[in-house]
Amino acid sequence: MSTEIAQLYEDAEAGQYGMDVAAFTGVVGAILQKAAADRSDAEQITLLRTLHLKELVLARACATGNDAAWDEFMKRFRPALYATAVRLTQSDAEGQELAASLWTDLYGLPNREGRRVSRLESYTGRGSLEGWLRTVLAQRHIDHCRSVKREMSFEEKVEEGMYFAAPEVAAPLLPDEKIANAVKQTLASLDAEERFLLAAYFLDRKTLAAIGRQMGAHESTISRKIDRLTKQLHKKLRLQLESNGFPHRACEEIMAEIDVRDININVAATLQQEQQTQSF
Amino acid sequence: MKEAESNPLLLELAKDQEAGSHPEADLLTAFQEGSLQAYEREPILAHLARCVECRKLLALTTEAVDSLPDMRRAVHPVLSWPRLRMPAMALAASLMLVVAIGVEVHERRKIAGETQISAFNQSVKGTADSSRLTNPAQVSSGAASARKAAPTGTMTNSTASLSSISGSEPSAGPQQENARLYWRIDGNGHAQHSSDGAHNWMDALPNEGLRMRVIAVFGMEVWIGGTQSHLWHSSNNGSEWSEVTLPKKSASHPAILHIRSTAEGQYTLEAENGILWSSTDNGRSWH
Repeated sequence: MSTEIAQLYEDAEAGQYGMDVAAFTGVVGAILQKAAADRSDAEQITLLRTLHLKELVLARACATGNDAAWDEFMKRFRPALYATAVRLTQSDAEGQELAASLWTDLYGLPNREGRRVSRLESYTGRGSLEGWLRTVLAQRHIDHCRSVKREMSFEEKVEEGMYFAAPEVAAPLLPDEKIANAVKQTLASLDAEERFLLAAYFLDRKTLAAIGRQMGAHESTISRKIDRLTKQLHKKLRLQLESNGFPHRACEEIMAEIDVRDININVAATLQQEQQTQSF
Repeated sequence: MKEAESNPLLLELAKDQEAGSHPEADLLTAFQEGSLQAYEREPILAHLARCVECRKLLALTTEAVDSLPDMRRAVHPVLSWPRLRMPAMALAASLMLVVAIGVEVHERRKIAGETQISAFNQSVKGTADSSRLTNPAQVSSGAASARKAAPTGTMTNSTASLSSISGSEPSAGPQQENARLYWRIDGNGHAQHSSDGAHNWMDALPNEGLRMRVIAVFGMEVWIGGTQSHLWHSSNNGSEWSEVTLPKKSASHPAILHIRSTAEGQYTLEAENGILWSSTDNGRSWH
């Protein structure tokens, strides 16, 4: 492992910002401890190799106040940070304010002991630094919107804009507890990805393209998965009802009442709609 | 479609929207960028399935990235020529980092054409917005570096109904038209290139009876993916090729349909069944 870390130290070019091998080993060691303490050496090495090491070193050097690192950081990320903030807020002025507030955190504020603590210390190189900045900025934007929700809630704001509209779903009681149980058991049998796809597509009403971008997959892949998933859901629910003691005819009636087809999708129509709404 | 309130399945799904502690921003970013290990991705997905807050955050960052002038984002394989309007095409040709080509169903072909143009237009808007807020020199420097990193892509259509063509070149210019290297997958699934303005074509790879599905060009780096999970790589713009063996992730050998570069030296492959492979060391190792 130490040989591997020594090689990663070279790859990361950590020396250019004055980070020695011991400090670098401490940083990646902490990341391993947090993310893969119970994993094998091989898995830990694989994880280390996926780290954005140069950006990790840059971020940590900035956090320690290295001037050269700050120059590089500002040159590379400041424009994108401000552009993202404007995009998120849909306003030049609010965007600049949002970005400036994060910038202050990135530079760091003194803690009780007087040590400057930078938000960049929490970056661990798992994703890109630019992506991390975007996520942190988006979270700050959401928090800000919620803090002033007497003026306008985050949900109202995004509904006004073009991001998304995730209507809250009311939950009236189901007419039959047995049916409710069957539905619950059916959904419980789905894996994490299937549940995520259902939630993103049917609850959040995200487009296939948007879900695809979130998952790093092409929208046609998401389309196929959702299509397959809704068909499986239909079959599973019918089987679950039967195994819960419903006779065949009753199952037919229940299925007609539940109308699982409602969550089936007409792929072509959905994609057509997506094209219309996404064009600009 | 009925309202969600009337569908017990959706009601149950909505009721179950309580999740534990939220993943850190770094992990959420890594999830979005596809750089998590499988054992890490599952818990994040499970959390996202139950946490509307994190799905909102993920959606917001995804929307934000779409507007930024970062041309290293994913480019999908099929380009529908009739949908590429010429003015946008001329601009796209000067900025586009990657042109990946594939042969896929008609439905996907329609989608991808729109997506490309939309993403491009949005990127241009993002650049214009940012120039008002930041040092113009920095913005133009960013655009210049994007151009430097991005080989100009030129697309045209071949006569074969399922083939597409891409051109890549180190530097664009009318006088260098004949030096431009064009790429296509012909109707038989053969990856081919042309160095005489797309008049004569030569097979790029030994014909092993496999159908290639996607070509992706990133500067001098060229990747070709095909059926049976076959992947070929050239680091000198197609002069020499080596076949890359991918770790097996499923019982079958799915075709590779998408090849993306998320950053310099970092690639993601997507197979027809949704399986992903990624590399962060310029394709030397895949996981």
